[in-house]
Amino acid sequence: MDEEVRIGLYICHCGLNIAGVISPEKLVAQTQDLPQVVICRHHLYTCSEAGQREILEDIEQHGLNRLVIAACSPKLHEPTFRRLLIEAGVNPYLLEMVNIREHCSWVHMQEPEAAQHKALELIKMGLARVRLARPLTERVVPLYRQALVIGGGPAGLRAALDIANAGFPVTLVECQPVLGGMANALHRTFPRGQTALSLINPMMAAVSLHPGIKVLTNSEVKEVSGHVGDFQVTVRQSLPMINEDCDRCGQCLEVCPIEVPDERQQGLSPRKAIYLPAPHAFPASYVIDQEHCNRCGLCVPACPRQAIDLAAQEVEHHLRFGSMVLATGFLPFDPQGSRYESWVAFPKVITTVALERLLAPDGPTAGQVQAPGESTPPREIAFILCVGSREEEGHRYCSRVCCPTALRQALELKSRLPQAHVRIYYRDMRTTKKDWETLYTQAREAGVLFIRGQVHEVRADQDGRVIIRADNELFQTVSADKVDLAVLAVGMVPGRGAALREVLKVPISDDGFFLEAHPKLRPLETVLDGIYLAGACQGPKDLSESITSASGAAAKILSLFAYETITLDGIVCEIDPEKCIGCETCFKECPFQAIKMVGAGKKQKAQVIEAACKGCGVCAGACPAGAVIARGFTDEMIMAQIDAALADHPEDKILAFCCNWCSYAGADFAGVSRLQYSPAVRIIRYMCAGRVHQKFILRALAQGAGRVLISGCHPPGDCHYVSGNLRALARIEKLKKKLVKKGIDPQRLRLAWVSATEGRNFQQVINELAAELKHPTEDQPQASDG
Amino acid sequence: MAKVKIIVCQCPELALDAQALVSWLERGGAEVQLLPPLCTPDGLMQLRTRLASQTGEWLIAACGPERHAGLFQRLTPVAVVRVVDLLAYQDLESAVAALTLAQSTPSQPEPSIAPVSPEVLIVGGGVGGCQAALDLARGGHKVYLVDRALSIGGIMAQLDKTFPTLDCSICILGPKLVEVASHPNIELLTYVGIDRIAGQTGHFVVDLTLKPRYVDMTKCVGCGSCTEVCPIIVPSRWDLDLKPSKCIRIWFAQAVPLRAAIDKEYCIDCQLCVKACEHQAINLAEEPQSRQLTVGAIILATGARPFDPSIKSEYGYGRIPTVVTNLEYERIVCASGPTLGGLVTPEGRPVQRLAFIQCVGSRDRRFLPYCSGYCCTASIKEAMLALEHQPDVEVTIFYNDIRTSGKGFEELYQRARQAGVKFIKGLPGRIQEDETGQAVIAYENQHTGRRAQLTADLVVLAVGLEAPKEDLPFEGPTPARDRLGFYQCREPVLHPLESTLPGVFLAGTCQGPQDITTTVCQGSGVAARVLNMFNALQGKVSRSGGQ
Repeated sequence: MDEEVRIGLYICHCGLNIAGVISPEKLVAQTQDLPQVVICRHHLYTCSEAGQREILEDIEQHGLNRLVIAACSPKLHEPTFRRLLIEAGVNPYLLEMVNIREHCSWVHMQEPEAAQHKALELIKMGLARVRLARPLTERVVPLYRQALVIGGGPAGLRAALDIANAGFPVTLVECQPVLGGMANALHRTFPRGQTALSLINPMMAAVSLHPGIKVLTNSEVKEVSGHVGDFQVTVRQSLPMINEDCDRCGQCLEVCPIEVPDERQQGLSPRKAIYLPAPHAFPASYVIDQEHCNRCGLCVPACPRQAIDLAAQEVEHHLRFGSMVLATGFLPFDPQGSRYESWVAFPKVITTVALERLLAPDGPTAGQVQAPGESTPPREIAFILCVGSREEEGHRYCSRVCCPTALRQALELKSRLPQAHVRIYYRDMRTTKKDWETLYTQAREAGVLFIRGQVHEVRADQDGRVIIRADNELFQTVSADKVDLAVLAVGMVPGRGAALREVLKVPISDDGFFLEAHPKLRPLETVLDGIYLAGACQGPKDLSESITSASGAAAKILSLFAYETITLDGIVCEIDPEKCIGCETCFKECPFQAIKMVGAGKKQKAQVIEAACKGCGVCAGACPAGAVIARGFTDEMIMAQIDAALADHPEDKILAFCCNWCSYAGADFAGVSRLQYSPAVRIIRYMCAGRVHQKFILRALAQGAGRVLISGCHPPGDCHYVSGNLRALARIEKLKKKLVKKGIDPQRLRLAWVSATEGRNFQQVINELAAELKHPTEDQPQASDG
Repeated sequence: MAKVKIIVCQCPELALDAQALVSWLERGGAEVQLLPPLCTPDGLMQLRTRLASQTGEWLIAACGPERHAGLFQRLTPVAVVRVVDLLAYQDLESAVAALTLAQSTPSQPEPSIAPVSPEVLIVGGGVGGCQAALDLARGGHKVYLVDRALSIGGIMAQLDKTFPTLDCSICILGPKLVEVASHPNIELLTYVGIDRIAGQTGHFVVDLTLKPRYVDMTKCVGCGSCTEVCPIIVPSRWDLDLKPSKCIRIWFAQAVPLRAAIDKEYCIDCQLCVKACEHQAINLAEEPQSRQLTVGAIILATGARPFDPSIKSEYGYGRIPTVVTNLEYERIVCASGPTLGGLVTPEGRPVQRLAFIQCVGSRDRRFLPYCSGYCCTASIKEAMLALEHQPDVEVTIFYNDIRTSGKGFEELYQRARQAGVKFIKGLPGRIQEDETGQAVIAYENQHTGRRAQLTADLVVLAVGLEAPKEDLPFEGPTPARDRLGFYQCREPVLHPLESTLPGVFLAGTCQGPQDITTTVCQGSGVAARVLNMFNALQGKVSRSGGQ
């Protein structure tokens, strides 16, 4: 190490909170002559203005370049003292806060002597660590202030507009030939029954006209590399065979010989291979269905604008973005190929999506509600809810929108066909939002019949009607009712964007939708910085929620783009290529895809993508070659703390490794709650339990530690770094087996999950371990070997 | 003066006959055309052609600004385009009258714009307000976050765990609160009363009263010495009166800001706290202070209030001690609560049988006709917590419909069923107390059709949320409320986060009951809306498109 280490050590009384149990004066006497301690003082309240002022003066007068504050938890005042160091012109990462309040004076109130001794040792551990601390710089990476929106449905449109209206260029990639997504299939919406066209089309028009938004239809994102601030994206576009000269005269339509079922009309009417995908959507142009087109070429001369060219071409766009929004939406559950297949084999059994087409004026029957194949409107109509949702096997989730959709459609049917009888078979009526319950009330008042019970079978009977066999929970019977039209309320399944999972490496939840960074507090973000979620691709939502979430995702990007660069904190990992053996362990274990392998074959080395690194240290904990430098929490720093902790009577000690987010906070909470426990414990903090390397444990055991405790966030979901706790679990289990082989008592190693409010749990674990130390039950020797 | 040319849009939402409207206007001598819906490619193309071919004044009879958002004017930099919202009229007479009037009204002069303040006021520091504050602050705007309580955090801070992950609530909220307090762009003002809101969008003037804590915020370090010596014991309102507190106290252990305050109502002026405080932070003579803010936008994130079930006297809440609300249950099982997480009744007795009753006050024409959405999943979560605390507890949930509709909620429901939680369809009619002090629930099981009774040690009433009655002191027009009492949004699909007052936005449960995830989405969503508004007011031109 180059420069001389000059440490300022300040011990806080915190009123009587610390001083009531521990004597700061005595600590000063015991520590002021320790190596490299230049100044040692005690304060009544170190964090007070007076305390801070004195520290600032000391730094200047004595050229201090390291600061150790023995006081409360770093979770309280680390930012305070970091700011002080910045003010003093010292690197803020050269600070160590030693917790002698929450972890000492508050929890050992009945054992002042032991607490005093522990405080001294904690300070020595802190000094050992801070001597090895190095200045860390925050990383400033450039930011390409252009956004990519994947998906042109209502969510994608809203996100694109919000970002572009703020002045940042947006590229909107849509895999279909037109924008609009599933909104093109809707006639009316809930809660007020307004037409989807009047709500969504103005947004589509605005996007198409916006000078700051570039729309790429018939396009898919094929490759993504890079990180937040600089994503390199390859988009493959199928150039349309019909160019913008098309004015939709329809002459090509007349000569096209190919007829196929029109998927937009749910197969209820046919279309040609050259067709208009959606009459009101942008861009407005006929397209050729390349799958069914037989290249007969009759359309080419038929077009008065010569807009058709049958040579299929693809072009690749190589683009760069600072951030992106996934708005790939959903698809309706398709009964084909599912256990409901036999139900829809009969034409009088349709889905709510098909009914929407029948209700629409531009539908296959021009708005006449008729069962397919019939010429008169149906008299008895039944809806069946939860088709493809809430299944025991298959889609277990609730699709949220099917109840209000069915109710709205039922109300529309009652108003258009006053003579019709409408019934709804349901399991639970989920009108969960403030405005939706009215739909249910109105439906009941309009005379819609509600039958609660599972539907077992839907089939045709001999006279061509539909029989529905269902449980009737109210009357405790099974009913078999005949209707003229059965409508299955199908759920939502993840949209076409699922393929992006491989390209973006965005994780997917069990239900198949994209996984958010945290289900409660970060629903719009993914674990990958700079990639946000909007709309139904994250989970079933209605139009209003999709649009709101899209604005939310846009807000995230606008906060990013408010500056020209991004600053990432200095606690990142670095890999020493000399030591790296290219085993790919870190590459596989990193929860954030922040490691890439460079080079080929045996010469390959791992390299950290700094902008993506979160500093958890999972890689460092995994590396068999010691090649990872986990800045701020290096192997050397941790080893030094272990040695300092176990210097004296190690056999009586519990060495506890606590993760910053949960366990350390849990221990803090035990302190705040004044839960008393054995002073035998010494805590070493790091960011994640996944940082733990077996060499730390082996070292501690070799030094004679009575117990070693690894503590982290509850699996599976609490870990701040997604899966660090699971990595720790796997490593500990492997290590325990190894310990047995080495003849070391595996009971000396313990793993405990402690969350931030589990003060009592932490107290219990420590007291249990301390009791074991006092009364060893095993006849294994306490001292370690090997 | 050149005649105003009228274009009528054949919008599918029109309540009246567009063709008839055109004929009527023509008979009156107007130059009018009917075009296909103007937001479709055909309509847009035809409109564009006409606007390009002739300059002058155009009157477009179409939709309102909540839909067109200025689309038509953007088609032409030259011609003057005015839009009349035809969807607002149900009959031909009023539509014709409006259009006739609009024809003869001369073009509006450019309004002189008062200086726009780029600062934002957020009223309410719950999770919604905090999220909005962080997104706006990170985007470079100065934010004032005010809360009338002593700490931010709202109801979420009082919960034990959140669904569906069963995360500790304050653990995930705490860092957000600390970030809000330490963000350089956010000024946190707690224990504040709002006296007056005047002005208009872009320039609101807000008068605040900073209520006295009788503790100097710059000197207090949150050590708690004052609380220890205070002789006055009062009920802790944060712990819903389930636990005693002192007259001088920190609101709760993770409060932000972590400073003490005196409830002057109970203070006897003994001054023991003054002597105990090593920082001389206590000032019993503190006076309220006034503060005036000038902001460009206001976000209301004032939350909602749990329904008070005392009015449903058949359930005995307030009379029978073992009947509690869902929020009170959260405090009971919370490790930082009155029982340190012990699953016991308010009188300290162990709980072997636990019952939840859903829809208390909700979906009920007498009280709250709507569904509050979160309570089914909340009760299921609370049932799971009970099992965690005590694996052999028997839990029953009485329900009407189980509404676990949200990501991960249905899965939590299935987990609860598998874990042995019993679900009975049928909302009980009555709860009585027996001689041993246990609650006896009388109900009808709608599946069996039989009436029965269930004895429970603790009964949790899952109450919904209702809108607070108090209005904020707007000097001019106030944001409207819907018929359920919540703040009315401008348009439920397109503009759910804008109130009826321009410049005043909505986030969180003040616009309708919902869960935390939805509120957090709205917090971010409303930030985008505010940023958009500022851009529009400052006439930002979009930077050149393309890569």
